[in-house]
Amino acid sequence: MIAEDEPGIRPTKIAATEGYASLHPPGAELQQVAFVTEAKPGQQVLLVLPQPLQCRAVLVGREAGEAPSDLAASLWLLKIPTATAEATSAEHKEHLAFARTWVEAAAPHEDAPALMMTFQGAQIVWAPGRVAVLAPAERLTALSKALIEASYYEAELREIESAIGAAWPQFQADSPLAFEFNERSIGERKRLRQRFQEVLLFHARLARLSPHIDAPHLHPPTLASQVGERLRERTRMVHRLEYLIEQIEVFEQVYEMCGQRSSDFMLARTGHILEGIIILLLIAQLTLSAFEILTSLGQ
Amino acid sequence: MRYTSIDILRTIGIIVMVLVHFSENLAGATPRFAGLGAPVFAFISGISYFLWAQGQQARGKSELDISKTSVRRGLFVIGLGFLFNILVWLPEDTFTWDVLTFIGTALLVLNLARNIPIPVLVVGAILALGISPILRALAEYPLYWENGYFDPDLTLSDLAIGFLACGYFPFFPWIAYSLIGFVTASLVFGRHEAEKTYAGKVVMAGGLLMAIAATALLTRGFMPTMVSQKLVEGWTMFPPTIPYVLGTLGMGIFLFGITHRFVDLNPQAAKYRGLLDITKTFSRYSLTIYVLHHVVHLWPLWIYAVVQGYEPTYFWQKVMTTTPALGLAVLFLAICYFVLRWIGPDERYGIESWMRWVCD
Repeated sequence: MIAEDEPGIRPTKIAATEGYASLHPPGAELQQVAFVTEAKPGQQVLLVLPQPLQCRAVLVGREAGEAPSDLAASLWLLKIPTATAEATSAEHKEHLAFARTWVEAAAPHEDAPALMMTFQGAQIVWAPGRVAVLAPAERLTALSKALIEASYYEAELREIESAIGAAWPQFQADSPLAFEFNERSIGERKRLRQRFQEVLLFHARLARLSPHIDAPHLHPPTLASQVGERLRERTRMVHRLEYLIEQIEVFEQVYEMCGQRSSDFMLARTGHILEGIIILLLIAQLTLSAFEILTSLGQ
Repeated sequence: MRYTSIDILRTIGIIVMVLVHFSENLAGATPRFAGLGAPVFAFISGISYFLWAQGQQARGKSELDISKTSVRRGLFVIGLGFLFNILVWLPEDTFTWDVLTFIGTALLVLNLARNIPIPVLVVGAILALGISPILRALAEYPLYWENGYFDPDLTLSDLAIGFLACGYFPFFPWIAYSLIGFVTASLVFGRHEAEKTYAGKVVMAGGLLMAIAATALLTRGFMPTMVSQKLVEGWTMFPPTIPYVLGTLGMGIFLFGITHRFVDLNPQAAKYRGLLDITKTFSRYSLTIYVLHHVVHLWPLWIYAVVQGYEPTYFWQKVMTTTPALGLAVLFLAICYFVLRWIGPDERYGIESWMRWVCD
């Protein structure tokens, strides 16, 4: 974790959950960014994501009253302004080491360490949920926006990957219903419908993300656009998107077949119930007739 | 999976039957609670069959294998029923259509019911109940019960009439118990998410049936003669009248719903482990106890009469008074419990294990 008495920065403690730790040197800023559909009054909108995504990145401030746990998706952004000539100085190295340690504390596991990128004097350390950017002050805003946008796409992909990964065992359990649906499966219909809807929603989310993840490089390039593009490459977003779409298609196919089977079964069942009742009535009539003959034989 | 609710109901059924049979056969007295054990038994047969079939499917058995085993089990119980009639009630009562022959037949029907939609089974149960008074009227039921017991001629038509409508446990309307038991189990155990909700609905359905039965009996005097005498008929087990079937079926459903809700779905119930162990023991060996209690109290009667130079049934219903008869029943149950506990829960002995050895 982070040493409390690191030379140069000397933060009392930078734990993301505390959120608003005092940072040194002056000008460094720790922000919590939340992704919301609609910004609340008074919330500062940092970025409006492209229209189909219907999402805004807002700054979570103490005055806005949100507790971090209330936010479904959020990103911690540490902005450290640097002087242009500072890149090789000892103090800059300390800032970078500090930023790296802080970001790596959020890395999901050891074999997925934080990503480091350097562009035209700007340095970025990124891990899921945390990003630190060291750049000249005038470039920090543009870089932050590019990082927030790319981090949002990555978070969305990660969330869908996690949900799909967790759904495989249930998928395997449900797959026989794509071939055969019977009386005992009727109780599963509600759950199957729900699963199919979930899969469709995942597909829709991916379809909305796809043009922004798999976008051609911007020309002429800017520092911010290059950082965004590089982060997409380093986090293999295009490939992950492709694999996810393939997986979702498998899910979709099976649950669509389940839906078709269950629908066919229920339609046929209605007819079978009527036929069954008619057959029972005929059996009852036959029983009565046969019984009448039996009793007459007995007499 | 073993459900304590079913153990409890089966134990109630077997205890009631033992007490009633000892009292009736030794003292000729019918206790007030007579006629409540067999309906519970028949109702439970439907529930047990559903759970058994579900267990077989969970073990990966094919539909064909389940059907074959079901048919073998059904035929085994029917065969056991005939053997029981011959050996316990003596050969002249072979075709009285006792509860075992009925349960065996019910297993064959339930095997067919497995893949039939629930609404059709419910209609089937209603029809089975509805046509039973008509069949009895056609057969002139009282003619077969002149001496207070079923006494058919050994003709093919009388055998069929006895099996369908006039025997001790005729197919109509008794099959309604097994069918409704199967339907109840499908609704309660077939959908795990809402077990509690369904337990509540089951309790209400049972209460409703009992209320209908009570209303039919109370308003019988105001009904047209034809309806009150041919359809409603009063509360009797022989013949099983519509109010009797509705009332006892309602009682079975009600008790099952209550015990399932407050025992199966209640983690606190595990505190009463001693009591639950008793029910488990009686439930596991219910078929054995059913046969054994007849052997234990009827064979001595027959043997004693023959030794004394009488007809085997000479002392039937008049060998003692009610109190010692009931005392013997309680003694039998106590001995049974301790012996079965000593044997253990593996069901290696008894008719249940024979059935598994032959049929599974």
